[in-house]
Amino acid sequence: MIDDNKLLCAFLLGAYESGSCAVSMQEDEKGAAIKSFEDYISGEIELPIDNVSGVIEKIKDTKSETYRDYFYSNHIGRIVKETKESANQDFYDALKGNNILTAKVMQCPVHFYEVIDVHHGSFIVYNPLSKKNITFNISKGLDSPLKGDIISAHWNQYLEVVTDLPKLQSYKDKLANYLNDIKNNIKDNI
Amino acid sequence: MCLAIPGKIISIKENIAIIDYGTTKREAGILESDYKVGDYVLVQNKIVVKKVPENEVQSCLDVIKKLR
Repeated sequence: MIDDNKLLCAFLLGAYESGSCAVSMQEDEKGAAIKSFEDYISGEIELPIDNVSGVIEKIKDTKSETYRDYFYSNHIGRIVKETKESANQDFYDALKGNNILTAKVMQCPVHFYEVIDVHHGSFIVYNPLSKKNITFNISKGLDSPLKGDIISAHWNQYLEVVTDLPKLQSYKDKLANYLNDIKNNIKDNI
Repeated sequence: MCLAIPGKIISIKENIAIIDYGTTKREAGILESDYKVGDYVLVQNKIVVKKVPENEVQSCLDVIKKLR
């Protein structure tokens, strides 16, 4: 388990590098923000407050007690709310006939994976969504997981080794229900 | 915004593209010339701002195929 601010920066790193978030930012501005998150995680700078203040406000809006509560609970509700607002449609209506959006809203929450192999600076997990193995690089400053560990990730960014999985069971259930509800609601167009 | 909504360009006339979002179609302005019919794009404030890379489109479609 890493501290809340480091988790926040790793989460944002995943969001920014996904190509699906912060799309209105200029590339140089986005690149600078990504570097600031990496530098914070590796312990080289103080928290880059200008680059995190926007998401901190969003987290406060969801009444989450900590950033961790948001990532492992209320973020899913935010995805649904913002998708509805952006599409100006009901969430499931927005997904109908839009397979790219459907895949993205399924990938967007924080997911858990079991580590099946470890290399120097990276590790491999099985992704049940894509039914493929995927490799995560370990950003400098993050813990190195061991084979068999459960880790969390946001898009293609590894976040942390999950050491309190029983506490996160309600999030696991919420995530499973969210994914199942999407599958059930869009089954006609797949 | 947490997640930009991707859509597919189904026609372009002058600098206006029609974007297909599945159940709705909307117009968006094009300020650069490197967009074509069939591209998946992201739109902000009614302007096409970014093409979804082909490898990303393919990986999303793979996820959907695996749901069948």
